[in-house]
Amino acid sequence: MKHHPSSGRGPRKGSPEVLALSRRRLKLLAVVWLLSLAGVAGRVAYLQTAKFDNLRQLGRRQQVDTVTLPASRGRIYDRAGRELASNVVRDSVYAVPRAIRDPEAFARRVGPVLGMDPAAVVDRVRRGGYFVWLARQIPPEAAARLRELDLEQELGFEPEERRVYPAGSLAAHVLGFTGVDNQGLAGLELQYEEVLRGRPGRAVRVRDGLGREILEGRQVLSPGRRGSDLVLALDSVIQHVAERELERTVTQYRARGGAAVAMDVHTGEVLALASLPAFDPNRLPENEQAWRNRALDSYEPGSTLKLATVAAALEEGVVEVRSRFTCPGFLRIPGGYVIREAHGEAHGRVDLAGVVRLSCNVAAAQVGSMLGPQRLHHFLTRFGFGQTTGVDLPGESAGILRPARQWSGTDPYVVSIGQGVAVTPLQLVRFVAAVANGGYLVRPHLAVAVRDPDGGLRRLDAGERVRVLSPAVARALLRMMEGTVTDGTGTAAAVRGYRVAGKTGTAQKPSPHGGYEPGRYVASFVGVVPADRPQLAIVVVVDEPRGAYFGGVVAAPVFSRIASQALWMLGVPPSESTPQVVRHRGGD
Amino acid sequence: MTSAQRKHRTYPVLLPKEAGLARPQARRRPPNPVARGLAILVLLGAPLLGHVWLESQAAQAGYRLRALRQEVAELERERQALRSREAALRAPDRLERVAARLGLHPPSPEQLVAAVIPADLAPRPAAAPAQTWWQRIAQVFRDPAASAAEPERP
Repeated sequence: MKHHPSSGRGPRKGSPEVLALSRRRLKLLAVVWLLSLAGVAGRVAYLQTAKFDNLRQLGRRQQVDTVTLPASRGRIYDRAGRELASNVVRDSVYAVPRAIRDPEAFARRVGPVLGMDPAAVVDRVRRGGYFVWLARQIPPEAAARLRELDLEQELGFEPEERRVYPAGSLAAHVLGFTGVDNQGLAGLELQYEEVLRGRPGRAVRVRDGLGREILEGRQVLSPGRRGSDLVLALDSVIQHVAERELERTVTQYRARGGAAVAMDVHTGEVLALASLPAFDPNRLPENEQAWRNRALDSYEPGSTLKLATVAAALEEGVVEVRSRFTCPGFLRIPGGYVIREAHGEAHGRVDLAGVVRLSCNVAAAQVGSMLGPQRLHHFLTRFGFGQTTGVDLPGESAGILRPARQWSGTDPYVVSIGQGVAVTPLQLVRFVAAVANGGYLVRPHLAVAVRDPDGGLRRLDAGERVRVLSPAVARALLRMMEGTVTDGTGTAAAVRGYRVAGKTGTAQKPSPHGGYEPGRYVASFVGVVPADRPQLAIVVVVDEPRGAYFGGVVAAPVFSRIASQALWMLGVPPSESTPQVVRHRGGD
Repeated sequence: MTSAQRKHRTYPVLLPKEAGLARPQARRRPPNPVARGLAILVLLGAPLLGHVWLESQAAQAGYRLRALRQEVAELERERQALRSREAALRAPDRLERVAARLGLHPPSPEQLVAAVIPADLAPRPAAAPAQTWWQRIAQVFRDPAASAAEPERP
């Protein structure tokens, strides 16, 4: 190596040696640069060709996905257009686990706001990924507090519709409730799920590296269509009256529960359907027993079924209105059993109207035995017992009506007084409505119309009316039922200013071990008002009242209070003349 | 020098272009690299700048649109909440409690009277006021479909 003589440090700047060295270095750098570029280009080529499909799929999975756009659920209105079920928008909160560095610290901040155990939050966050729900449809205050935590990377909010029932527990058993994804789970919400839920839409969502959605990247593939609204026959005010009066009695008699149904006798439109115990569908109770709709549950009806026995006998012609029976207070029947009167009294000679008015067990059993098992079973089936009514509510019981061939010798006697058979309050009120409307069995129904999102109103089919009684028999039976209220076991059902027809019922509850439970009764009353121009059929059933237990004492007053207020609400003018009510019996 | 001696006079003559006669051309200067660079920058940069400007405008519009959508969603949310609140306030149970507090009760049956109104005394709907000539002429030109689509007013 040559050295510059003057400096002694090496070749001088700009000397040929230095230039040659620089050139070599530049060449080396260029080679390295080109090799690096070639490497990158090769890698790009490899990724873009050999791995193209895999990487594209992977990228799409991470960044692009298809989401369902939930359709707004249709609302439910009563007959006067009052809102019974609607929706409000609430925020649902999700976490982005990939963006959370310290799950414990995150949980300590978020958990208390959501009312969640921090350990539960940590569990969810540790699942990893880009998305995990923390809480759905939280209150607005909680959402505001979460936003103040300044956790934009770690937390996300998704607006969702939440079903709300503005009137609280009103008609809860009718309306039912929905799940967290707004799917119908009970009542009309379940029955009309197809109508109410609408059609969800679909959209493509693009997410950033942290899994958060890039809003500008959202593309709607198919817009959703909101659900149709449901218009009910139910009247909120009459429903409230029925619930209030039933609750007052259930509380007064410390009963286990009860049911009341008010129905238009001509159309089958259900104006009120109350069931106790009640619940608030906005806050579902853990006790699922409260969800039971007792109006659709079967029970042993007792004396109210005598109406069907008498109707069948008149229709079949085995008895006449003037037929008379002897009641010594008891009746020995096949099998060694004895049928007795409720109060142990002997009615002596009673006509058919007396059977209804006094609720005479002995005479009713005689009528049943005259009909025989085949004909009694045939007519009970014709009157709609032992089968569902077709009401537009899920979970309806068909009741229990064994086939006639399975009946023993005692059955015609006991079934004719409402034992050994189970009916629902709805079946009973439907039958009484047939008596009131001249003999037609109608289909009880709650929904009367569907309003489409574009505003079109479509009336729902009310079902066919089926004649089950001749007009003469229906008229005669209605007159007999009036006697129950004017001078019989149901005088407490009288409504001032209106003529009322009805029938009391007091039934011992069957024991699961056979026989009957001592001291456990179901008190009921079913009736029609006004009896001269029938409009409403109402049934009231009170389960296991304590203290008093006769239908005429416990259930009939509820009927009276519901009927008087419902008639006023409906603007039904009072009857032109009302008979004098003679209150001298304790009821049956 | 004699007077016959002629004086010099100069006349302008247009001569044909000849290589030998042409003035030597000025040597062209090489273009200024800075100016050339600037020109290229402008030519290439202007569309780019325009594109960026348009993109930013679109982004701004997108932000505005997003904000407006958010506002619409918020208002819709508020409307639904208010509607639900209104329904809750009109619930029969609450109305009854308020009415009872104010001393209001449902009428007793004795307070109810069925009034039969003879047909000739029944109230009749008020007759529509007579139209003026101008209203009749306007009606001819009015689109019947448009008026049918108008919502009914309570």
